[in-house]
Amino acid sequence: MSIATTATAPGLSRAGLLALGLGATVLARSWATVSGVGDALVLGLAFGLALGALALAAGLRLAIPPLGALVVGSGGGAALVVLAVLISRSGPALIAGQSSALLPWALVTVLVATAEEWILRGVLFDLLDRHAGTLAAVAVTSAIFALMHVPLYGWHVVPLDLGVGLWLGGLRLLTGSVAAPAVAHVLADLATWWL
Amino acid sequence: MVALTARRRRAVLSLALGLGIIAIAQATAPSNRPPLYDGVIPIDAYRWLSPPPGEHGGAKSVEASDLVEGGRSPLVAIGTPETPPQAQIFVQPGGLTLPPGTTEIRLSITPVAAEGQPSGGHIAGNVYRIKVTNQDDTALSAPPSALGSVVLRGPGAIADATVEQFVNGSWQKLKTDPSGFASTFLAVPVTQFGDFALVVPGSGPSSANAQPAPSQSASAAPSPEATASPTTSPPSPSVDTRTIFLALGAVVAAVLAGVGVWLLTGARGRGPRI
Repeated sequence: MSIATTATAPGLSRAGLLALGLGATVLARSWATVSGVGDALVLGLAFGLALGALALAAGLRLAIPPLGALVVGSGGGAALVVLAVLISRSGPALIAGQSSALLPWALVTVLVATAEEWILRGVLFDLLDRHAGTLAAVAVTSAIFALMHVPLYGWHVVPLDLGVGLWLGGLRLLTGSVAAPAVAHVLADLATWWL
Repeated sequence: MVALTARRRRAVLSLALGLGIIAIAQATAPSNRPPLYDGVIPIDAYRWLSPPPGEHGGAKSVEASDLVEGGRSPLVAIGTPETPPQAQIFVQPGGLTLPPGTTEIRLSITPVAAEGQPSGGHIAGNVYRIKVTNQDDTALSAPPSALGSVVLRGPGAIADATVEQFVNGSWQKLKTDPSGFASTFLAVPVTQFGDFALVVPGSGPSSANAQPAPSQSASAAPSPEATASPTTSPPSPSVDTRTIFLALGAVVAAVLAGVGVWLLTGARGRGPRI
């Protein structure tokens, strides 16, 4: 699915507000998760719906994704998974404890990853690209992507997620569609079930 | 055409830079377990042995046993039943030093009351007593080369912490790395077993001050499977009205924020496809 956004000024104000809305939603989810107020899947579902609603309200328009973007996105996601497998260090593997069934977990994971891409590499990327330039779009969305995972996972994920953000931003630039990074993001996240 | 070429060049640059950073980050990460990149990973609320007001009780213990075959200790890998586990231990196969006549390895991880407080910090979460013995209850040790590991998860969001071990009446720091996931920290190598806790800098509330969690497991069975034993405090329900309100609130807040963006910018038209 590709998207289109409304083209208006002041784009940077919109981008800032979008980032604030994203940050507030991320912090709310993180607080709820570490506070144990509810099931992680329910919170993930709420998070994904909230991001999707935010993206739609900010001008996201859904459309049929270009086939080429889907293919490139699949390759990009496969590369992320293969890289993780090849470079993974030997040593103790932490017990993740997947306590939920695969199907509901997968559905929520797809929703969350897609919604994150709609916001970051979709609406926000487009705003920044048009009003601040391509490099700013890639850099800012990558930085936000890294920072938004800090509340749940800690600062140590920043380098990894910054790299992934650049990779996904590159896919977005290469194909011109948010579908490519969305597909890659979904594939990489789904792989965590087996890895 | 020129713009397209420049855009493609930037795309390749971004992809290459991203790939390099990913490779370095993966190669130097302390652990290869979640998150791979992201995803929805269930994280249970922290279960306290003696919960502070408003926190969850029900810290659990775990026991396991396994037979020694060929004079080598089996892989040691057990964790408490929470998701993710609040305490885990790993030792490579053959990593334990076995006294002559050892036929069975017995393992247990039990939340216990803290004996004393560490200097230069406070205990975050429960103190866990990790016992690794043979069938005669003789404590077993592991040389540094066995890479014995103790992994502890703390309550809430902890950015910096050290795994410490209670030895000879005082808490001693162990070489600690963050796992990069859910306030979980990894101490490697651990050579002796005993009481372990996560210690964060600064003053704070004391955590574990109750009696050891009762155990119900039957560890005599020659099975590598661990058995969990709940404490007396019942866990709270995982989904409640607060969750529903939170979910609805998040959706409403996001919609309001989006509408605010929309109204603020006076967006009306359709832009180019991206």
